[in-house]
Amino acid sequence: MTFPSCAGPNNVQTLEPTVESPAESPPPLSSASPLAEVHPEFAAIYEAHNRHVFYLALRLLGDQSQAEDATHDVFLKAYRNLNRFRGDADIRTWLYRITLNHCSNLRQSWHARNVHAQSDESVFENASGTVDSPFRVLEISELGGRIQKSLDSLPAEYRLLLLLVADEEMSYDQIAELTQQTADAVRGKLHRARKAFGAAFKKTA
Amino acid sequence: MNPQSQRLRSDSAQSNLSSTKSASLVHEFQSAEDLVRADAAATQVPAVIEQRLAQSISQEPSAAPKPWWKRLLGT
Repeated sequence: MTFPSCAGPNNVQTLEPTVESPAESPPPLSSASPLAEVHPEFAAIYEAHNRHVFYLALRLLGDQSQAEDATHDVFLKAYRNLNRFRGDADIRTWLYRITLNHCSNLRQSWHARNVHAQSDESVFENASGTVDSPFRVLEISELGGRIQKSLDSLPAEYRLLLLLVADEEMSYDQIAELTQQTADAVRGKLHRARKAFGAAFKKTA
Repeated sequence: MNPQSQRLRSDSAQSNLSSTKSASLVHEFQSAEDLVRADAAATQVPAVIEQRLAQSISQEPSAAPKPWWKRLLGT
């Protein structure tokens, strides 16, 4: 994923994402790639999707070392079950499904031990943020922490939908299939998720 | 030149400089998705994951070939 920056009007830097297609054309593997020496075909899959899987795991779990373990485990599961992947789904969607199941299991066991309060979704229905207002960030280095804080304050479903829709290769239909609901339901919930995220993000400034 | 106007010009130049300085640090994102995408792009995947994965896969038993009847039936 590449996100070149370009200076917008009034010296405000606007970051505009560009579309890429790693699934169709994975970047060339370096000869030093340890995975390519063991399994070149699987190394190409890893190369094309590892950033997306790692980022999803990182923001769902909120912990760097847990995300590292999860990414390793997700790709190992994918390797073991590669012959079961029938190609009727996009490989990114398949990897995301493994990631969601894995992270969900981890979070459930962690929450069972550590969390006793339930978040009230009705609070987020009436969030005062507006979807249209732009987000202004002074320090990019603080962005990760602020995003994590904001995502953590959202209901799990909103968090997941925002993370999935941020992947430009994922269509609403694919997100709907992954989250087991209709594409219309995804659109409706995303609207509320954006609003709730906007309100939460402003609080982290 | 009038010293008063010179000081005003200097103040104005100083103010322009500081506003440019602070404005150049502001990054603007149009949506929550754009924000998340920028964060994803800035997030590096630790190389150690690939090394661990390569090690794990090298220790996996190689998959047994499918029997002929399974290949024939396409199951």
